[in-house]
Amino acid sequence: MIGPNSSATQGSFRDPAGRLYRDGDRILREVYPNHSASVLAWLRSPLTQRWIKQQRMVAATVVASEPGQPVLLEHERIFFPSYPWEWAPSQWKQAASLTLDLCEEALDDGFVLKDATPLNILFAGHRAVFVDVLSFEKRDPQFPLWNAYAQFVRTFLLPICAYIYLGWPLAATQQRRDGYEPTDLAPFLSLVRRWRNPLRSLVTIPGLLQKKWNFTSERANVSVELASFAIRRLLRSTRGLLDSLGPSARASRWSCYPETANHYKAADHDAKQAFIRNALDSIRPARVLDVGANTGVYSRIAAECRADVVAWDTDVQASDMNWQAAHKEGLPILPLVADFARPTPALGWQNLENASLLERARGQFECVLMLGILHHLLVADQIPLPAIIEQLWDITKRWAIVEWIPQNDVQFKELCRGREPLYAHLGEEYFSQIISRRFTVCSRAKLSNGRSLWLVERIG
Amino acid sequence: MRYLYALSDFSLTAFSILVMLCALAQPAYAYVDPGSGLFAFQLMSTTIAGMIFMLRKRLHKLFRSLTLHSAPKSEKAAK
Repeated sequence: MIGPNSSATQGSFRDPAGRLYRDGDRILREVYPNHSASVLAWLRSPLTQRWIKQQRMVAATVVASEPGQPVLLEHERIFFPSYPWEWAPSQWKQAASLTLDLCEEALDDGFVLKDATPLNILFAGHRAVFVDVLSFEKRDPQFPLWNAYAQFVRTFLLPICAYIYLGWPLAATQQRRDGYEPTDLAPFLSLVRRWRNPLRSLVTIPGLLQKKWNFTSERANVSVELASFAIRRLLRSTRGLLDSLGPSARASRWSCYPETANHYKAADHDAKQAFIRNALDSIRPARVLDVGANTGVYSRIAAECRADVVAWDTDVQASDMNWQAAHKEGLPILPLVADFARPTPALGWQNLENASLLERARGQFECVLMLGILHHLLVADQIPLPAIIEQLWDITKRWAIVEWIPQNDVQFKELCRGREPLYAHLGEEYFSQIISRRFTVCSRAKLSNGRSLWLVERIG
Repeated sequence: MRYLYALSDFSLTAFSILVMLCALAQPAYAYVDPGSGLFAFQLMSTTIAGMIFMLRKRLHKLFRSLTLHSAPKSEKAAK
């Protein structure tokens, strides 16, 4: 079943129980023979079936299962895989919460989560989904510890702590596959903060114990009752620590932009929204990429037009607000902290463990929105217009809606800061000429503030 | 004297939980790094959980025995 066209996804090679393969659009998982029976029992358990029904765990179908042979599973494909370093803080907390929920529920059925990392989670729209079906195993009822506790703290709680208390970006976790150690954070925390919870339990005491303890002896067991009590108490206290982290909302440069954008009159706002709604209604894209989405005003319009939306923005707080709104309203929007000008690179072993942002985006979207972003790419990121249009052509499968901002626009001038002569050639005529090389203009509208909106269709 | 015995018995149980937990190690099939400081912290929390568990069990036993002792008295009073 795993044919010559199947490629093993490199991120899965660490798991001793199995491996993930991509075969065109199909996601297949090979389970090694010595783990087959236990994985099949786990997948067929009422608990797993319930989670799949609730869409908290990815669906898996058994494709091949011969005695003594590896079992082959096929997973439901989740549109647009994302990595934790592209998530907003609230998405991190949602992923951590799902991990603890599933671990706690699994205990009732005699299973336990054997690894607890954010890489086990993907977002299907705003919804967190547990995707690593091999992460659960039968629990020894007399064993009172949760083996994955330290990993959960290192990869979930400490990055969130570092973001909240030290301002370290969550995106920095792309360099820390196994998260932070308590001692990584300790030197940067004030004495008072260090001895207050949650940092006392997550950083200070573990940091002190790290220097003193070393465990190498044999495994021992306690009574079933005591083991269950201890592990549930640990999970409860871990949940308490997670809940105490946040809320993390602080205003950023762009998080209040929709409310404070005074270069837009109400009538212009309405005209812009009407153009985008009409354009999306006429082309009916199934999947939309919103580049520079901010808090998601236009992502929501696309979602209302029944598209699955992925919304990129460089501003963490704006993305967080976008996710919270989508989560509250149950809209199919996946906000990601991502930069069109500096996309997330391929990462990991041989640069093959995690695909780059553009690799994941290419050929996935029928329509790409680039609203109020072009002048940032041109002036702030200093990318030439033909290169931007080339990239847009490369990503979209068919359509694009682009907002053109003239040189006399307040926002354009603010970004230029005295470098106007450098961008003197960037008139609307020049834009029309460049975009026409790769796209056919289907419709356009001029707003009273001088900006214009273009619905274009890809050539070729 | 009986209470002193119960107290020493409880301390001994708590101590034995700690000793037993200190002897716990990572099973071979777990491939995630168990950590050292965080693992020690978990052992500490589990020891405390063990002590709470034992204390609750003993208190439950004590209340039960007190109820059993007081039951015949109340029966006598009823007669």
